[in-house]
Amino acid sequence: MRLAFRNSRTGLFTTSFLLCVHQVCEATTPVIVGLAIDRAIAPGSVPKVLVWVAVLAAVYVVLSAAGNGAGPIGARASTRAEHDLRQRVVARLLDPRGTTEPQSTGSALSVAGSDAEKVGETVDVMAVGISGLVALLVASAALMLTSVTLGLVALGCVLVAVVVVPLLARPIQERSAAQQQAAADSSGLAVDLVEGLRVLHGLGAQRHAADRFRASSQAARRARVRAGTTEAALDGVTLVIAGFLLVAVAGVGAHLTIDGAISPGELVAGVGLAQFLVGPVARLSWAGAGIATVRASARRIADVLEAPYAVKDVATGHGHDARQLGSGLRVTGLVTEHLDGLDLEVGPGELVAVVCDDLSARRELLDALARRRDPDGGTVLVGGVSSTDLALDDLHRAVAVVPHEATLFTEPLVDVVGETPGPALAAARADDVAASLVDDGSRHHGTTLSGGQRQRISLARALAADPPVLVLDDPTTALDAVTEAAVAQGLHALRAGRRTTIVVTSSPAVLAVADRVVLVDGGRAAAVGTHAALVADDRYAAAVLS
Amino acid sequence: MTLLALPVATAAQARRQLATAIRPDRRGAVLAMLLLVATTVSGLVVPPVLGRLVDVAQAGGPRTYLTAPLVVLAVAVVGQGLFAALGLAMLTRVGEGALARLRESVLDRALGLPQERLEQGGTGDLVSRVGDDVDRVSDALRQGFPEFLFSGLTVALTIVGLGVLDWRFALAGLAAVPFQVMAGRLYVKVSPPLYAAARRAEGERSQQLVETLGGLRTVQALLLGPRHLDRVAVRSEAARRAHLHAVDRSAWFFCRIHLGELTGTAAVLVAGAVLVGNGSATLGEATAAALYFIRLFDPISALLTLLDEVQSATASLARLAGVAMLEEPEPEGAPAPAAPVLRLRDVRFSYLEGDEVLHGVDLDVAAGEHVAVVGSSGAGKTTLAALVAGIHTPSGGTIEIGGSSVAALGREELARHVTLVSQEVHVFAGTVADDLRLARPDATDDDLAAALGVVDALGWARALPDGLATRVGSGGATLTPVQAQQLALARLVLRGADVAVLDEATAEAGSAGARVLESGMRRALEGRTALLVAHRLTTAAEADRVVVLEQGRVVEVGPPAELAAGDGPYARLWAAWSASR
Repeated sequence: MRLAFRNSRTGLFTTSFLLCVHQVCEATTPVIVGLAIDRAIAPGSVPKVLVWVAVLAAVYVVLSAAGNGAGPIGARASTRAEHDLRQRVVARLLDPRGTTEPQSTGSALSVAGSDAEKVGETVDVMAVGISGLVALLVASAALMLTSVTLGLVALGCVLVAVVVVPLLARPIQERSAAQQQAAADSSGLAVDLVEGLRVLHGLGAQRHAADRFRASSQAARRARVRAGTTEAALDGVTLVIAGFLLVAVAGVGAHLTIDGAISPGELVAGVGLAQFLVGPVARLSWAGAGIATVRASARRIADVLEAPYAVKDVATGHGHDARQLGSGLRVTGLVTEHLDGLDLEVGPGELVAVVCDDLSARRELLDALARRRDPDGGTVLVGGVSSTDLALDDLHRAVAVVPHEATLFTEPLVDVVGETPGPALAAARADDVAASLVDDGSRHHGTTLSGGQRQRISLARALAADPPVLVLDDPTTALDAVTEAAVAQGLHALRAGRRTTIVVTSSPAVLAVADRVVLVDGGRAAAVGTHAALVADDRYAAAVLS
Repeated sequence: MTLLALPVATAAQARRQLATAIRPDRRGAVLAMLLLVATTVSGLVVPPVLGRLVDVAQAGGPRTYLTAPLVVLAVAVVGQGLFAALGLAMLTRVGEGALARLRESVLDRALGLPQERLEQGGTGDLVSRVGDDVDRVSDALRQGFPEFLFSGLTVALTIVGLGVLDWRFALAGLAAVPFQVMAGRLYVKVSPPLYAAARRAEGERSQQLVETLGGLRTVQALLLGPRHLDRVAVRSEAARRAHLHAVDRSAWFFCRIHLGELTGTAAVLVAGAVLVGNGSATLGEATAAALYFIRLFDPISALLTLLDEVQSATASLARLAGVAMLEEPEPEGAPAPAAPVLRLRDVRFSYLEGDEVLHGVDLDVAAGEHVAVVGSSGAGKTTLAALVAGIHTPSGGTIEIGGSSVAALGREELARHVTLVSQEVHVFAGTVADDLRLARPDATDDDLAAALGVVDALGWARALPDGLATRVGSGGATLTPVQAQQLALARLVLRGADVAVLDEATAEAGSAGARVLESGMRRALEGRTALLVAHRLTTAAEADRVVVLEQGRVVEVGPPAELAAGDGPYARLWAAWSASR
């Protein structure tokens, strides 16, 4: 976590320093006013008052410069830290080694978004806390110099505040945690309902959804009122404590003045400082509370950053030159939860279809090919080299395992399918979709496109990347029969004999163009042959032709 | 293409919206205000009493004279704490009530938003409004608003106190006002666009994060990681710059506040020297005046600084009010449909002006009939389904259910008769039972089990760790696309509408899952009138009739077996489908 602040450490120190200067200047103000009252106003001398006004102006120049410098410098430091953290989180989430503790998109978003922001604010929290502490010490010292008795009285009261307030704050923290949970639940529900709005529209259940939100919103309100009432009580007590600090200093100070131990001006300065002391104490307790929230966010970020990798990487070029890698792929004895010794051999330039009715087995096979997770047993050889001996970047350059969901991004077409998209677009029958996107880019990650259009563009994107080995997961589910047949032909024409392709599918149109079809049943390759030959197999017919 | 963003209200409209939310709790609001005034007044007693102490001390006693002021001081301090606690508690009660009303009305309106509107503005914007903006307004109302009120009251009443003490001191104190007004104006005039820009940049950053993290697997598979990391960096940096721009501006603002403090204090001190010098004021009065003035520093800067938070919250409030203001033209309410019969005449539709997607579709569906819509990708099938379900309004022609126009039916009435299961799958966060009860809140556990049974989902649902009480969706257990779509079908069953529109309900399930879904679908649709958009011709072959849609026109209608035997477009589709079978 400290790493996050590497670029902002100077900023943190500068901000803290400037805020300290600012606080000390503020502490000086009542002292100067007290001295002015004593030395200039008591004798009623205007020229003397002007001298003190000049002193005050000088202090204010420093105060203003320090205070105004602290804001922008602190903001620079905290936003820098926030940005660096966010980049680290996103980089970690995108890391090809994956994670053993995958997060939902929603929680990943909140870690990269609001948690990074919260932790960035550490700069402010620390600077305010440090300056509060320094101001507290300086003001106490100033009081001590005026009168040791007065200083001790004030310090005693501050001590009471520092000890009593946290004790009182404890029940608040509990209520506040409950309240935060209720608020988060309610706002999470709102976001979830809006994200599912299309489904709600289809169901005509907007009213029910609104009722559900109302219930959760009211629960959040009740929790918040409970927490707020306790907080209000604490505020009241804090005010009373600060007030008694003032009463004590004023009472003791007045007696000391009558004794002649201090001057009336020193009494004013003492009272002013006592009033001022409330500020630093508040700053300290604010910083304390701030650190608690920061810590919670920091833990969530650390959970992401420090989660174990799902697979181990080896250094690039570690014994194997990725460019000379052959493009054949061989899977031997793959064992996972749902695979039981699967063998699969795909020669260079071959187009092989895999039929796998068991969705879990299918996911595990694809995970093994992409090396998202290492199997319990068996090996995946790419061009004769075990994929565990290849750097992940080299492996992914050689083997692209394209997920089924056709996620499109907001970007110009050239970023999607490259400079010469012709052949890929033609093969995926996506020319018309691409033409409609030329003008406007794909907006809202392509939600204005129909499912079939999205699927075709996504396939074109994979084909345009032209990886040596391409693994597709059911790429034609949203296409009508005619388009599907055409896409199958296009896929074959573009890649067969040139590049290696594996398609996991049960679409007869795609199976028909495959050089070979492998039927996975019971976790193993149960039958291998061409589509035409396998149709006679009952298991195959049941999986494909029903 | 420019997006038609959701509207943003003006500041005045936003304030009105807020006032409306507070109105039901007027009495509480007045009580809270009175308590806060009492708090401030108790606080104001302090400086003159301290002044009195200084006078007594300077005069050298007697000490007994100190007792009365100290007792008054103690009482004032306790009163201040007590009133503050009560006032803040009351304020929380009122504020939270108003806040709850506000966010509920925003979500109400957001959920009622016609889908066309949503597609134009993008869900991202709406999500950030019901999420971030609601949070921001909440924070402001909770932390900023009470402090703002307090500070405002303190400033106003302290000036009054200063005047009561001696009007000449009040006059001296007013020397600070021009600077503070300048500072305030800067904030009110200059900051709003800066904050709006910062907010916009943050919105773009979130949008980029949604895309990148939502498409994680695609990004990894196609080695787009560096590119996306770069995009996030660019957006994040832009948001940072916009934020810093606003912060830098506020530094100048504090300069003016400081100048005001200095000028005011100097004026009060000089006035004190003059007045004490000519004997028209005591040292105690001068002390009280100076203390009064110093006590003003914090509330004034709090007040002006909070203008900042007020601005920022107002920007968010304006975005919320923009949603809350969207009036939904609730149709007159045509008579309830007489029968589950669909009648489409010359239906036309265009998402964008001049770019028609459907060019005059005619179609009749009899009660209980199942009609499949097939055609190539992009032919307008999904659009047709959305029109029949009343999600879009046709730009030409009519769609009637049982003699009532879909466009004229109220939303509630329409929802009772038509349910659409779309391609898009969303598992609502919450328990499985919660998810299903969205369709029928009063459904019993037996109803839920029965509905799940119809679609073959009871087995796995009961096998979940907590059965139907298992949390699913965002933050819960992940369901497979097949399970998610089975839940959607179970919702259809629970909803009990007599017309069902299914838009490629099996598309995302993969081929193996599609077969599981098809059997569930068959049972779910029993006894209902159904319009099925299908690309798997197995579904179409089981329908009573098939409609072939090509480029926005109906090119063929008839029973599937008959059409397959002919030589029209359906026969070609059928041939392609069965060629490799």
